[in-house]
Amino acid sequence: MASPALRVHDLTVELGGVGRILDGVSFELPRGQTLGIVGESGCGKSMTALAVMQLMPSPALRITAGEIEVAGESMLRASERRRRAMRGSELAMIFQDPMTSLNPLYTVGDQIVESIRKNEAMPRRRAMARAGELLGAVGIPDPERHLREYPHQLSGGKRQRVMIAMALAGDPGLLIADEPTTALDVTVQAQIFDVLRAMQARLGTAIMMITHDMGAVAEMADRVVVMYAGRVVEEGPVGDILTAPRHPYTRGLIACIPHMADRTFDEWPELPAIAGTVPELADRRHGCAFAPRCPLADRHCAEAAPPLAGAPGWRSACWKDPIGARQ
Amino acid sequence: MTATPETPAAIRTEELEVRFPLRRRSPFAKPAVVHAVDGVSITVRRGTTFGIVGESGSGKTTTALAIMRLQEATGGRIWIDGEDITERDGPALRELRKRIQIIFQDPYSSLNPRRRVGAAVREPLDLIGIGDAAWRDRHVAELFERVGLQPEHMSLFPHQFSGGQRQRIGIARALATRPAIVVCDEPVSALDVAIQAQILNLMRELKQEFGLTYLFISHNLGIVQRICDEVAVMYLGRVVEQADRHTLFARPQHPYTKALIAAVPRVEPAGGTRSPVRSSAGEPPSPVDLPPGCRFASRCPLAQPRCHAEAPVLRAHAPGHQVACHLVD
Repeated sequence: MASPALRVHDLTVELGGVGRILDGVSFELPRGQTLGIVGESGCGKSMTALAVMQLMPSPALRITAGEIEVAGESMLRASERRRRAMRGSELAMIFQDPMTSLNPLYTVGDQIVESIRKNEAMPRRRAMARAGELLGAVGIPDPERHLREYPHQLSGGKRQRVMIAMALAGDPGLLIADEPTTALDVTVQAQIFDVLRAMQARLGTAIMMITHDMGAVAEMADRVVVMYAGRVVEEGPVGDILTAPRHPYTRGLIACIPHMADRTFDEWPELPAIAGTVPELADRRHGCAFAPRCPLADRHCAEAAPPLAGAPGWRSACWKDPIGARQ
Repeated sequence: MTATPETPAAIRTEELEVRFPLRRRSPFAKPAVVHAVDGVSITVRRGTTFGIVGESGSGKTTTALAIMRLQEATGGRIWIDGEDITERDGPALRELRKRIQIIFQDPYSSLNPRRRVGAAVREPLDLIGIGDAAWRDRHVAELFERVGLQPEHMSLFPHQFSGGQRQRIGIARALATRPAIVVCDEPVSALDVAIQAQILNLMRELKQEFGLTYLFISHNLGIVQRICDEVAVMYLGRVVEQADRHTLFARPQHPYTKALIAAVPRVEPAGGTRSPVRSSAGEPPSPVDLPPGCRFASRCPLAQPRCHAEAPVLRAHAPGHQVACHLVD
């Protein structure tokens, strides 16, 4: 069997002297599928993405254990030169705010051409023609005109389409999308999801989508990884997790989304909320990190951290999960 | 409380209009104008939550700022509690500020990073001159406790708080002058979902406790459906549909409202099957060169020749339900 598009095994990232930002994170993303990574800010979602890209934001952050394999090849053991080559041809990333990742001084065409020629030597004219095709493929009308425009002349939705076109220029097997639609209006978000899905169907790209929006996960993902305070607390197929979440944190996340209810209420109802906030790195103690906010927690939860357990394919890290770890 | 048509209006606008002139490219060019708000007439009944929804650029925030007289209206009239405040200025305008306050979207940029948060919450009291210094400090301490913070937090700076705590500070500041009306401009959009629910629950308690009227601006239809009594949908400066929440979400009439509702990703716990995304094509046209007909016509799947030629007016479709569409009776 071919190796998965992405395998992350026991990944641990430490912030020098303070603590573990990621603590034993493991998951796999099969080729051509979509994996949603959900959790609140500060849970380690974006750190996981940056570690996979090997774009650590600070030298104080160090990977102290674990392995990251992209299409079977280790990202950690690759030389910096090889990693640079892999970014673009094997894996690529799009960010929440396209404006900060596009260079305001170059035209859209120039920037896509740069991504194309980084992966494949070809004359500028041919690369520009290919850039036009890519813009057409991500649903930008009149690509010829938009190639000559600067990022500030585009709407937010079009900028994100340009980012997708640039990311897919080298036909990578893995696309990491970090909150790709959070800054966009809901109708434009739906269009971007359509584009991502169409490109996935055409190119067979695996997508790792980081989001805090369970609705986006329901629309896009095949599998879900729920993270809390640097750990995976639940992982499984999207249908199972949305229907019968096993970890209390997942349950809380699903319950507190004010999604479009089937029935409406006569008055502003009290919304289910998760009390408190994600603990700061320095405040993380041994024991389950969610215990201080958990309605089910008892003394044991505060003392020992539950392992990720259960049948392969659907696991949760909770002492109170009947199919999970035994005390 | 349940509002009836007899409930007095906290806010009423008639043909409210805000236009921004654009700088001309050359002295010979035709002067260009952005129609940010173009003839908005709404009535917000006392003690209710009135939602304004729409995409970026639809004019929802500008409408709210114009109502608060923080943005000069170029046309139309505004009444607060039955008083015409369209031309108020000086001390009378300051007096109005006591009664109508605002919670901003971004608790990061709406607080001065170099100012202790206690002073930030006290600022409206200082500016309007309510009570003496000792009373103000006591009042601010009470407000901190009421919104779920500790009085000791008053001497800290904004960066020492989480996003949710900062929004609590923003709420305390809005309530400092004991307003009757609070404009909430995307108050939870910048927050994590788990924290959104905490803040919305707090706003719900405060509304009941102080009998507040909320003008709630949001692009999140899920939240609007849960908490608003009445909803106006705006598109490019105009209200295209307005109804009570039940009607609007159960029987939306305007094609734009339908597209908005359809675009919301749903968590479908039953079955977990993926529904195909129904995306409405295109993006809003530029608010500078507005088409002569219906503003949504360029994106509307049902548009007829008439829609491109003639702008539809907002008119009653059913009691309490107004729609601006040629194709809806």
